[in-house]
Amino acid sequence: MKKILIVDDEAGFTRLMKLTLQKTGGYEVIEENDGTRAWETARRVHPDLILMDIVMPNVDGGDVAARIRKDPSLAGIPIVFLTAIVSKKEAVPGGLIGGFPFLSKPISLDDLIQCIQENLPRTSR
Amino acid sequence: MRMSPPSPAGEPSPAAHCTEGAERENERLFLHAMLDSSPDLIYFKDSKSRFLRINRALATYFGLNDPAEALGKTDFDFHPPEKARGMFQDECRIMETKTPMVDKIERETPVGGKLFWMLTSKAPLCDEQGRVVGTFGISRDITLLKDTEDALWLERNLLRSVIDNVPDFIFAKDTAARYILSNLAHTHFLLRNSPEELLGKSALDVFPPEIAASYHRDDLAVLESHAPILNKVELSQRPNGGESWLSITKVPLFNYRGAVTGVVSVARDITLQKQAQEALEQTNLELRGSREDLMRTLGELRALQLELVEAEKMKLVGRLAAGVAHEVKNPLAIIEMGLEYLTRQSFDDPNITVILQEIGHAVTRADSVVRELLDFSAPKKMNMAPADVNRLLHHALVLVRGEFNAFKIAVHEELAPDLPLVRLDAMKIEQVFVNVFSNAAQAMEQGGGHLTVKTSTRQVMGVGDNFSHSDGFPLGARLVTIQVLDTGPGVPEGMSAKVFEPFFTTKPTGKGSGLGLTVTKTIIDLHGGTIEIANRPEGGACVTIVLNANAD
Repeated sequence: MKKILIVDDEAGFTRLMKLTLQKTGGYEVIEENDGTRAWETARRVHPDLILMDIVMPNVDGGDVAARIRKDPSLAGIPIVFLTAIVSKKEAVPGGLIGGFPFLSKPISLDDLIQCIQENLPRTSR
Repeated sequence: MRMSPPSPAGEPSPAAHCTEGAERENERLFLHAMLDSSPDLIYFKDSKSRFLRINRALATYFGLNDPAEALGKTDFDFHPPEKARGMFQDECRIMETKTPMVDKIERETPVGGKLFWMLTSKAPLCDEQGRVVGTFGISRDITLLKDTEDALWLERNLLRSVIDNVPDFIFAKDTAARYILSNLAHTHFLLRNSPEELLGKSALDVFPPEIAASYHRDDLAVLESHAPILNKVELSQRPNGGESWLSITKVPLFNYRGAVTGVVSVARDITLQKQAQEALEQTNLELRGSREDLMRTLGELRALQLELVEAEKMKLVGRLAAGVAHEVKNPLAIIEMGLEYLTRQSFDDPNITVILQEIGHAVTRADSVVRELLDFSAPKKMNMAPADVNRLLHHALVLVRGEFNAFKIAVHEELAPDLPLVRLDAMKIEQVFVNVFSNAAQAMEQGGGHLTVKTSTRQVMGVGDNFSHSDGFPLGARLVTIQVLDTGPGVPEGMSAKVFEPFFTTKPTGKGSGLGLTVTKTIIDLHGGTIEIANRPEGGACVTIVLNANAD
């Protein structure tokens, strides 16, 4: 079962994401509501994919993503940003933020599943 | 008695004597006839200046009924003493010197009479032996002639005074184009001391060949066509090389029979005027340049001001929008995710599905408001390139076709075929058109209507109405005007300016964010254009967008 780490300070959101993804996608979902602990959690659970909020208290999702990317043990894990403050119309060319794919909140389940499937490493899919 | 000068006389023969008698009789008859019928005044006097004989005209002049009444009298009997004395002295001198007095003009003022003039000739009267025995004389009334001569003199003097005292150059040439008249101004212009130095000369003697040839051509043209040349402005050259601008008029000179005998020219030195005019034109040019500079600077300042205001506003709105987005979208995300979960469950109560759909619609609506707010506050990066406005309009119409069809709206295009290309951000301007069309469509949502799209072009001219309606566009700018006319209810009175303010909407809650026209105006402002909305007299609204085709 693929492991997905969701990093978002909105506990309600991560809880619902976990329920939905477990029920409809058959994923194992680990929640992390404290952005400052995301890197440690990632090292601990070593997920197949990380869904990362950008605007969180005390830490920027972009910085956390950069740190994970620099960690050789985590470097291969795909990261998808979840953001509330970028509209799709104003999206950066290629639909990327800082080189990472992103989903704009609120997110439809279909878009979420499609994005996860596209970004999970092919070998482990 | 015979008149002087005496003719030589020989001794007459007897036969001749008879003939001589007849001849004398004839002469007497001739003399009488002449004396009595001549209008001239004729007299014969003895050595004491006493009248021996006067003719009828002189008798009438003296106021006598019969010429014989004058016999033995003198001029002192008929003239004032001073005048009579002068006559007497003349006659004494004639007798003494035996020399006639010819054509003396005398001023006559008879008592109570009007002034008149006499032309008098007197000669010694000699006897058979050639001795002076008196005088005879003849006087002619030349008053009319004298008056005419005086009038002519006055006229000539007046003409000459005018000719010589006007600052304009007046000169005349004969049919061979030789000077026959030059006034003082013209004479001095040609650096001559007196007009006589020019008389008989031609332009070739005075001017450089090419200028002389031009003058000669004009003179010949006037001589041949009899048509005047009026105020021809030419650069002339004086003999010292100095150049002057002249305004020359040439007219044909006619004699009393109506034949052309020459050309009269009047020339005015307009060099100062010309220089002043050129200076004025130069000043005008500089002023126009300064004005254009000022207008450009003003335009730049306005753009800069707009940018600064925009930047400041956007910074604030951007922060606000980001905050709102974060705070609204996160809860929305939770609701959305919950919906997604619940939607995939089965419920016994069918109303639950309807309720979940309604909640989903509400989430979508709230999300779209936040998205528009983010769009509105997003940094404005312009991607400018020349574009065909008609094509963009057409494309935008295609994009909203679905809406038009749904609301039963008929679209009419009246696009000018000669529109210049306009430098603009095609994506953003297309967004403007879509917003305006969509707005019009929503205004006609109830019962359909007509939407007309018009384009036209005009140039901002110098002055007048056109300038006052230039809306700050620079002089010479080619403007492209886009008008979108609908048949909806129009804009509520007094709200025309407000519709562009953020969060202003006339639509029912949930139908619009209130940012569509604000975004539209911001985009037009960034293009240096104008957008206005007004109600049409026949009903409905008209949105007018003006873009400057020459803008950078």
